[in-house]
Amino acid sequence: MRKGLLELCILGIIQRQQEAYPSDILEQLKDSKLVVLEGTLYPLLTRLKNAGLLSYRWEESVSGPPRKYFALTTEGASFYEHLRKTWDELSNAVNNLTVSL
Amino acid sequence: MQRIIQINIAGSVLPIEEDAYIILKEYITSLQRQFAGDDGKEIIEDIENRIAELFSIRLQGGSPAIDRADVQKVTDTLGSASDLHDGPGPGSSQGSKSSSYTYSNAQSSTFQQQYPRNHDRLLRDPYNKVFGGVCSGIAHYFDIDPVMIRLIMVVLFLFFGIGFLTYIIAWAVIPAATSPQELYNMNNGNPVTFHDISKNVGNELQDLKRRGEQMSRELKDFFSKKR
Repeated sequence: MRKGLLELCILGIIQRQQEAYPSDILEQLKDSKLVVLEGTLYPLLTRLKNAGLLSYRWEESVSGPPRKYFALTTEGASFYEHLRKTWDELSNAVNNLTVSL
Repeated sequence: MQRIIQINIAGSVLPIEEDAYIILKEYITSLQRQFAGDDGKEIIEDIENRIAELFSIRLQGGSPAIDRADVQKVTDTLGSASDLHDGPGPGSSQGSKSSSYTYSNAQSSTFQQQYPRNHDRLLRDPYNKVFGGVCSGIAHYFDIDPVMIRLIMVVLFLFFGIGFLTYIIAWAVIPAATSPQELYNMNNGNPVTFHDISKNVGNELQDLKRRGEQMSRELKDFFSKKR
């Protein structure tokens, strides 16, 4: 169940920051107490990129090999909007139907 | 005593102790097995890049060479190959609560619409069936109205006598759509509940019996009206 949500979160983070490097994304997920193995991120990003939702560019780094910075494509942005709407509807529905204990 | 060897990982040449190298190599091989698909090469490249980066940071911290503990730390942060399930649709860590379940279903399906569609498998449609859902399954596969296929089947049956046997064979051979993803596709995007999902041969037969009874009732009505 985490899979779809994780995609939404990743797109959200990239959308908010314009551009993000996998470690940034991971850091923010951790800050929000969403524990994700770093390794799960790479296949996901590659998949999103190959689906045309993300683009990337290389940037030189001081601490090792160049880094991939990801950004949303226009398609990705509209997809994010769509996902976010679905999520809003769903979370509203669940919040309305259930009582937190 | 450890021998230190030089490796080239993602374009960086790094010193690493021999036993650490063996573990790392095994780890990367297991990842390569895990991500054997088309995207695999790129995913591995990205992960190697990250490993190289983590190692560089470690070496800049004053360590003479990467040792076993360093490799362990890296594989722990990245996750072992079996933890890194990929691919759309239900993953290994599926929630057991039905609310989260349907959500993941809806989610991954919205994704499915964006990714290259892979629902083009011939499956029987349990939602929309007269006997076994063969016709509607075929219709779904070719994206046409099931009624057309049913008519063709009936014509084949009446005039050539082969339709019946073909149908029975197709029923036996074509698997029913059972996974949430498949049902979702069949159902033209309406969310699927748990209840709909599992149909084994037993219910299938029961279902058929019920349909048979219903049909004979309808036929009886039809004829009694005629009279």
